[in-house]
Amino acid sequence: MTETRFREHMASGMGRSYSLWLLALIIAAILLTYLFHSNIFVLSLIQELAVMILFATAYNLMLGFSGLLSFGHGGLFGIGAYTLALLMVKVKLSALWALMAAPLLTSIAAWGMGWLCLRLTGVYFAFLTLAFSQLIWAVIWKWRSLTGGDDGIIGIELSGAIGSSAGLFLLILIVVIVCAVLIKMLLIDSQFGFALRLIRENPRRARAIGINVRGYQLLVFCASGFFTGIAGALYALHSGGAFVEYASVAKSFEPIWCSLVGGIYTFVGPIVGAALMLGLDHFISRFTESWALFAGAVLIIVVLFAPEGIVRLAECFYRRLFRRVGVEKWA
Amino acid sequence: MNLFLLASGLSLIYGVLGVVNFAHGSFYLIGAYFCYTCAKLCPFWFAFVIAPLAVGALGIITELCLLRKVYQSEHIYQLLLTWGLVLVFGDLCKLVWGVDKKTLGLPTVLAEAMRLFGTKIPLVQIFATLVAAIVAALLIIVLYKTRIGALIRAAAADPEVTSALGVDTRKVYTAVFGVGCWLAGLGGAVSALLMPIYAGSDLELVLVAFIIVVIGGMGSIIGSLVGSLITGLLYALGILLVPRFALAFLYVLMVGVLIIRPWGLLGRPQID
Amino acid sequence: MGLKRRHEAENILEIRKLRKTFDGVVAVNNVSLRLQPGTVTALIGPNGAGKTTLFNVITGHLKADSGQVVFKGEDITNLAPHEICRRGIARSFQIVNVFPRLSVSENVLAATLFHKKIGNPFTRNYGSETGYVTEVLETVGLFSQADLAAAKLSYGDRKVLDIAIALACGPELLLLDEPTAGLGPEESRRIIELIRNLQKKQRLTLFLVEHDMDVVFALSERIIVMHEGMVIAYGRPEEVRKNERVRQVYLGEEG
Repeated sequence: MTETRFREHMASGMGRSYSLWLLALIIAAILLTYLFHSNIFVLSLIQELAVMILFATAYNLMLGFSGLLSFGHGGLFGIGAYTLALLMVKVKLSALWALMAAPLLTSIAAWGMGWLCLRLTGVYFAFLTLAFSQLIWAVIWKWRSLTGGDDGIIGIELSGAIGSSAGLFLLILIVVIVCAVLIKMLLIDSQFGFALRLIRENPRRARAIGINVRGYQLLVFCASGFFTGIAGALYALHSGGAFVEYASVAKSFEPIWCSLVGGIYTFVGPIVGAALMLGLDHFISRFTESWALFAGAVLIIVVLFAPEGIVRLAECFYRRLFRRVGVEKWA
Repeated sequence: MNLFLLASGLSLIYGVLGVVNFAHGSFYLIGAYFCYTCAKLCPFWFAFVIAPLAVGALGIITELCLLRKVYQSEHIYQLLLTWGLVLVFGDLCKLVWGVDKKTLGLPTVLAEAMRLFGTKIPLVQIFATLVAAIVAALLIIVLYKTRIGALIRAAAADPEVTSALGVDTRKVYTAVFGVGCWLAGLGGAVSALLMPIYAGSDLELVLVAFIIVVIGGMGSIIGSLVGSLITGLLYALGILLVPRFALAFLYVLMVGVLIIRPWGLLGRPQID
Repeated sequence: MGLKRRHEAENILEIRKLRKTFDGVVAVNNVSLRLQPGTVTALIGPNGAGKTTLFNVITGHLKADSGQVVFKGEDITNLAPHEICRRGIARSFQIVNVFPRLSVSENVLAATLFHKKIGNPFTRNYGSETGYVTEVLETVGLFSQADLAAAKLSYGDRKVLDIAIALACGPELLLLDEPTAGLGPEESRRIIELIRNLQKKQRLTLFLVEHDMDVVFALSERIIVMHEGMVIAYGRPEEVRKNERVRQVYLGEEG
């Protein structure tokens, strides 16, 4: 093992061309808009996918990269959606300002949630986040005067460039792309992400080498909440309103399913999972109402036979197929 | 009080197996549905006894085929497996029994009401409370006064030592899970007497059961008893104080308990 | 007052009347001790004497019930573990405690990066740390396995890695909890050599918990003996060897 190889290994992570990816993806987004601008169905489908990708990616910061199983992200998603909806419908704020306010509010909520919930670990942590999410849901449901309760908030009006369906489509795609690249660059590939993985692998050892575990966990909760808030806000834009289900337990489980099935230890895992989830949902829904049955079965199968997710499975398969002896990839 | 049956099963399973069974509400619901269907085919009392047993059997099958495989995995995988079960069972119930509400026909014996302390209390409610009380007493007696109970408590406290002593802890786990599901099924059957059965209640119920178990103590049967009483009282209080937010009130309490005393009133601190 | 301060500053670590109770059992019972900078001190005693508990309290993994831990004149009692690492105390663990899925070099890099205040949390460039990591790996003899996942190392190598991680924190005081536990004679010798070199080259203060008496007498300049939570002897190896109480405690255990 020569010195130069070692040096390369150490300096890896440098020079990954984020700006190139960003450019390529944005160009792809523009192309998609051009191709499908009159096909509302396809636009809607891809929009939903984009939002789910962001939601799952933001969520996996906690599950896959920090080892924190949170059941509370449904509540945060709901806060993002309702913030945007309320600001745009009741305060008549423009979409741009609302899109900036939503994640800020959501990350404050995430901070509060994290501060309380991180005092415990494991199952208790999961419960506490569930309780919190249910609390948010219950408040949204019952506070009719503010949130419209069961009816939700409707009537989001879009004007200007995003007034058209194509415009909205492009906006959503670009926001998601930028967020995804930011997450990868700043939170996963960075020293911050390294710390998160250290905490996930061995929190005791991490503490002993100078990592403020609680501080990092709080920060990642906040960051995850920030991007979840954006996802929720985008979803409200997409559907034209905010509804109680956006903060439900079911919502909390969607990103978990996506991350787990796709693969919690990789960046693309949640993306693949989101595509799978929506693809299967739309496909299955044509034949039967029992989407949950299918989703549950897949979940069980993945937990039993492929807990590291499809992406890892595919990697193993690929390696075995071509008998490549690669360097052991560390997530 | 039928919630006690649900909560005690959950608590028992967690206490012995260390697994949080999200699907517990589903077993409860299946118990209710089984009772409903059986009552159409055979005498009520027969159905009432058979349904929980069937649910217990279902629990045992689930444990043997699925749950067993994730004991060695991290906790999140156990949670996610049981969540998968919730989805599967929930939809299966919808497929078999549909989404409309089902009401169980009461046997003539229980259809009456009784005069007690000046108010008319339906006999069903007295029956339900009686069943819960008897089961509670049975559970406590078995767990704390019999050899089998001691075995179960030993397996819960220290599975390694217990198996070193020659006890097949795997059989204990299967049995306990079966009993836990039987309790859930019984709770479902009892609830079928009191209120209509509807799809989607599995999730609501398991969450309330969590609140009860958290307040009373994870892993403690007496804790579930105390917990369900307290939760019932607090919910009533909540309705009094903040009528629209009574449910939220309960969640605030759960959050409070989890922060101040996460192992509940009567549970033991779990070393994670 | 001035004289007292100077005296305090001479001790790199001072523990005053430290007490820690678990569930009614007093694990550390009014322990007081002092360590001089640059020395190698061994902490010995039968199992359950409270040695690892003492280490855990010093490094902040456990909270003391009462008493003080003073490091270089600063009271660090009950500080969080990461704060204590930042101030210059690092430790290795009795049961090997590394980051199993990371490579050896990443394990050491982790300690290198995080033991001090972080500059830019978003950085992805670790080029400047490479030299230091190489140095540490060469010091402990793990450079040839730098790319291997830690889980794939032999037990002995993992123990060495544990120490390497602690070293990479750049400490002034290094606590080693049973560094030779679970190792065969050859690997133990390797660790002893390593510890000797560390002390000579880097002017570290070393504080070891050890059961292997050969190791203890080979390395240490001072020995502290603990029994049932209390310090029952302290001094040079020859003195401790002759100490009646110590012999009683050890022979009594064997008898």
